[in-house]
Amino acid sequence: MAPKKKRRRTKKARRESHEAELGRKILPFTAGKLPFVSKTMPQAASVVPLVSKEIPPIAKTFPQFSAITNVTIPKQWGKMPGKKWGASKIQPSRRLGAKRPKDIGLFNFLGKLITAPYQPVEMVKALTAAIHAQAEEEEDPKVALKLQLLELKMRREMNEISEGNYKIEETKLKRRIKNFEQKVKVTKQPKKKRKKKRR
Amino acid sequence: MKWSERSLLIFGGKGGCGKTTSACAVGLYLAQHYPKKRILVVSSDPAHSVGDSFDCSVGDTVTPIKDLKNLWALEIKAEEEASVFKRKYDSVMKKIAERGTYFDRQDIENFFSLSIPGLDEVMAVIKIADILKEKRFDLIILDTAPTGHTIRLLGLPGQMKKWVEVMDLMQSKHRFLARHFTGRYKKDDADEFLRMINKDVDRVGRLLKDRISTEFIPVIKPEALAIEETGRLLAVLKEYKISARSILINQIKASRNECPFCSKEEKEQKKELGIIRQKFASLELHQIPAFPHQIKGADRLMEYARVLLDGKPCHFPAGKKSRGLKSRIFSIIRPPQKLSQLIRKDVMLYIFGGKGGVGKTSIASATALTMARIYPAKKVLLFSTDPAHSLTDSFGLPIGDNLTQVERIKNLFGLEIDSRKMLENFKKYYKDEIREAFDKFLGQGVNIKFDREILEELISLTPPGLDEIMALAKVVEFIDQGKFDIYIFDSAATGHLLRFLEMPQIARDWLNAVFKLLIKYKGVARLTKQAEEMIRFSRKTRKMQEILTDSTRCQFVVIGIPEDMAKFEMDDLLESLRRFKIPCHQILVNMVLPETGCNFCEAKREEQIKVIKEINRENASAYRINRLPLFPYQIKGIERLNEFAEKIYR
Repeated sequence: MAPKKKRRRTKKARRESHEAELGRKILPFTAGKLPFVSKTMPQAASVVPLVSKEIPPIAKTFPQFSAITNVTIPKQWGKMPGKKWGASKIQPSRRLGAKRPKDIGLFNFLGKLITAPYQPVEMVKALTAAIHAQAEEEEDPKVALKLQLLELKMRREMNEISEGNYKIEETKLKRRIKNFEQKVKVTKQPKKKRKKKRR
Repeated sequence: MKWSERSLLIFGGKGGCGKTTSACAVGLYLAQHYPKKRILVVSSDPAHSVGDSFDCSVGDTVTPIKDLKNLWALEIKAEEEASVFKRKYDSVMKKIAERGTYFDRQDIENFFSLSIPGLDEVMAVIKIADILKEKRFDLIILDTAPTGHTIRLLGLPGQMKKWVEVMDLMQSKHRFLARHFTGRYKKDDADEFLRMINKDVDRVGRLLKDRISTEFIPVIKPEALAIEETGRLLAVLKEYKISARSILINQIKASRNECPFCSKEEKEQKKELGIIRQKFASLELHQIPAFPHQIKGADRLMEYARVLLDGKPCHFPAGKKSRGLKSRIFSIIRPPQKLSQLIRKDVMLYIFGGKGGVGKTSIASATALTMARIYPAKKVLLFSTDPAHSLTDSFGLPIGDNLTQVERIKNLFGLEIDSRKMLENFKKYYKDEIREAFDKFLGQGVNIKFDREILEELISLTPPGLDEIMALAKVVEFIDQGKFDIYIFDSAATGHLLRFLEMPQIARDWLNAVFKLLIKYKGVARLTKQAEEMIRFSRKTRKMQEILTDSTRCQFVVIGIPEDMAKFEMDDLLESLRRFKIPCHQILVNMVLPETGCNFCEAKREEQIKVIKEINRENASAYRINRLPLFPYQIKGIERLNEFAEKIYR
């Protein structure tokens, strides 16, 4: 007959016998345990954010294009944390040829890659619009005459021309501006009359 | 802590209180008592007098004084220091400007050839930085310009730090491009220059704020105007965190004799001393008596220093009673010639100038009151541009930055132009304009990051003298509008007055350089609005120049006192006026002691007569010279000003 397996005493029984030997009650050992965390209490990770300050969406502050050659960045690349730039603390723009940063999703990256070639076109469009506006302004004879007058005044202040010559030139230019304004008035008036007649 | 244990002692205060004398005397005394200490006395006032005080020639190089092996003196000459600085760092500064702006080499060179307004204070800071770097001296004693410009000097390290930041911003653009195209950036001489300047300015700034190494010692006379000004100075020192623990009260009358003139002065001073004790109770007060002779040369400086630092009693000639003097005083002090010839109907602008503390404000105020009385149909404006105004204190009325009508006088107005505030407003306006211009561009999806910041901050590079140009423009605006018929200008002390008179030409040179650029780049940038404003400003300045040099419309009145140091300064002023072609036919020798019969007064008077004779001998052929008496009381408040005016313009 196989020897009877010795029954292992339970933890509770062991503790009770030990207590009997000591002649006092043993309190449960708690040292080294984590403090009690209530279920309603938020977890530490949710209280302390990973980044101390909320990063504003850079797309708003970052330029879509930089005027410095070949420093064009797509608008949506904004979420990248920018490097601090020297003492001035300016965040540099990123160039198109830069490698894909790890924190940008593949889908996002591909999307930007497709639209990237079109973005310089937008910049060129904006610039040409500005140039066009300036050219239109310069074509306007009145603006051109006023600019001439301004230049004349500057030259007078620089003592490049004498007071006498300045007066002569100034009256000439002012007369031309006045004549031009009158011409514009005359050409505008008949059109209105014609319209009235048709009615 | 003793003065001898400090590294920097700064003597400042109102003009004519004895800053230079105190600085030189303390320097001499400490050099004799501490032979191992190497001491340097530096003057930052454009109208130097350290050499005159030591009675030897001191230049813009460190000069040993007398036989002492441990005492040196230096008078900072801004132009020469600037030219040395330019020679040394010209190429680097141009390089930074070229990298940070769109201008080409020629444009930048044009700008670099121009002189900078307010250069004196900038060069003083740079020179002090150099001296500190050399570590040649254990103690530097700084003799400053009168209050207004000293305040400017103390604030300069902070402003200069801003300049370095802007230059660094310009350099950032270059760093960025270098990194972008080459993948790395190697520091060059421009970076090294910026690092060095930053470190130097920091060193000066730190030393000024160091409570253990530095002490500012205000020098004061027991007079109401000086007390008010010192109060303002101490407030500024507190703001800049510069330590001030003691005050020197100079020229205290303590003759204890029966001379009615002296005793009246003493009585007045007693009242003011009480105010000083009450107002500056937290500070240690050092009292120095009035000496019957000028403090000039090593022996007299030592005598002065012993009284100040050892508390040695002084033995002056005792006073004696003079018969019937009290009734005679005002008959004696009548000026020998009529001053009324000074007042001319056609003159539009009167400028009163001279050394600090010679009575410019009192005479200008008295003249303004007389003008307003003689010409009731004409409107008179009395104005000052000195950062430390004293018209309010002189009239005893609140005259501020707004046009203020003087009480009970319908046609007299006062104005203390707050040029600092004007400059701040201008800076704000400029920044808004730049922001607006860039926002227009940004609206189209484009930004010029570096240039935007550089242009916005460019205004921070304004030289410290620009505020005076703004003040000048304000006066011309009044002239243009015909707001007043007579303008009376109470100017700053000589050194800064000369800078002020140079200002119109400097302003026009800068404007011309800008006009050249605008014409050159008219196809690229068109700043019509700004250009028109600059043209307007240039016209105003030209007009001011025309008025200043027109003898029918402008009169400069030089005011001096019969003392050697004041005479030297007066000579410099007269020479500069000739150079600027500013009409000046009148010299007023103020504070001439009357014949009182008192020994103390007589000893002083004897010295005065010598100086007056010399002034007469040198200038009588070209100028009208009038003597104005010293009054035994302060000229403060409308009543006393009226009395003073009646006596001098009788």
